[in-house]
Amino acid sequence: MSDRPRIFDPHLVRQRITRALSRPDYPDFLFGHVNAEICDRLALIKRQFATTLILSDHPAGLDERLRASAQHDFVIAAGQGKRADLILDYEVPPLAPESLNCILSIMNLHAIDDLPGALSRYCRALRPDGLFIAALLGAGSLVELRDAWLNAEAARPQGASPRVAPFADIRSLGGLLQHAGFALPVADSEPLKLTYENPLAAMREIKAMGWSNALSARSRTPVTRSLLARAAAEYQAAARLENGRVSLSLNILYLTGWAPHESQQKPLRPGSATMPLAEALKSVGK
Amino acid sequence: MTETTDNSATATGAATDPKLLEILVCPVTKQTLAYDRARQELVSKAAGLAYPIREGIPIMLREEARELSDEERR
Repeated sequence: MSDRPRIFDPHLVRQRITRALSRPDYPDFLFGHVNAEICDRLALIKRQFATTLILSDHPAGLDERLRASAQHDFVIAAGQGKRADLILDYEVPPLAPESLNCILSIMNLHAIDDLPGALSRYCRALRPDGLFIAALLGAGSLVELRDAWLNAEAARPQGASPRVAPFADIRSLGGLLQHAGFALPVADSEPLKLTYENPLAAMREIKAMGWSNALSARSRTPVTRSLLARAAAEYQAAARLENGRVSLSLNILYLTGWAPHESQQKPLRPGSATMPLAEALKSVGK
Repeated sequence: MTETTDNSATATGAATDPKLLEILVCPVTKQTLAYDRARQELVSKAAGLAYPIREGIPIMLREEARELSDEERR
């Protein structure tokens, strides 16, 4: 692998999530929410999948649901958690070319460095006409947290340190899917607003979800009590709702693409029309 | 997928589904893996690495893999 500076510390990303998952009170509502959305989308696709791969740290029943469904013949749950059939690194999946019919990536592609590379690797792992759906955090997520820490730290002589990861913008993701080799690419977003009693409760939940700062360039200095208080005050001031609670924004992006196959609809080649445009417009006008 | 040793008597832990092994390649080199049933490892000669299978679960992480000895690489 290259010696480029890494955005994420992959070992720490993995450690944070596995530790969080080992706690009995792991807050898994987001996985439940996204899984339901993924199932709704699958239900609209009239297709049978011979081999389906779920990429999720916490399948939360999605694996069982798909195994019970007639749409999926053989289901593999891969991830970093304890219940996986296969442990892998989402960025460099160990998947043979054209070996799968459906890949579902649930909330993990926002925590890798090389998203374009990973997307093209998943595209290659699909058989022709195979389906890829991914849900991940996109730009706008955790904005309250990012701003609060930025403002709290900016006042210090040593300045701010990176605390919230950068998230991909939906506008760039359609292009990324296409670049990765996917046909019929679609990217859409679902903005969510969670509310908490206070900023510390929001921060505690992020930590409990295993989403604490795992950036390579993170500050190694422990957060002092006064800095935490300042960040909480900044958070409270910016994200306070009318009912006294505070908001925490999440922007979930859903990516869909198909491995190319000749049966799929394609735009016609320029110049291949058989009727002059003027004729076509005339018939529309009638 | 090729099998180097067929010594199921010494195999330990839960069995891995052969259909799962079929879709796996080395994450580093993308080359096919050899399944060492006795040691419960997936061996990538090209990368010089052996990925462990623990309780039937392949651990396809670079950092968890064992470096092959010079003899094993031949």
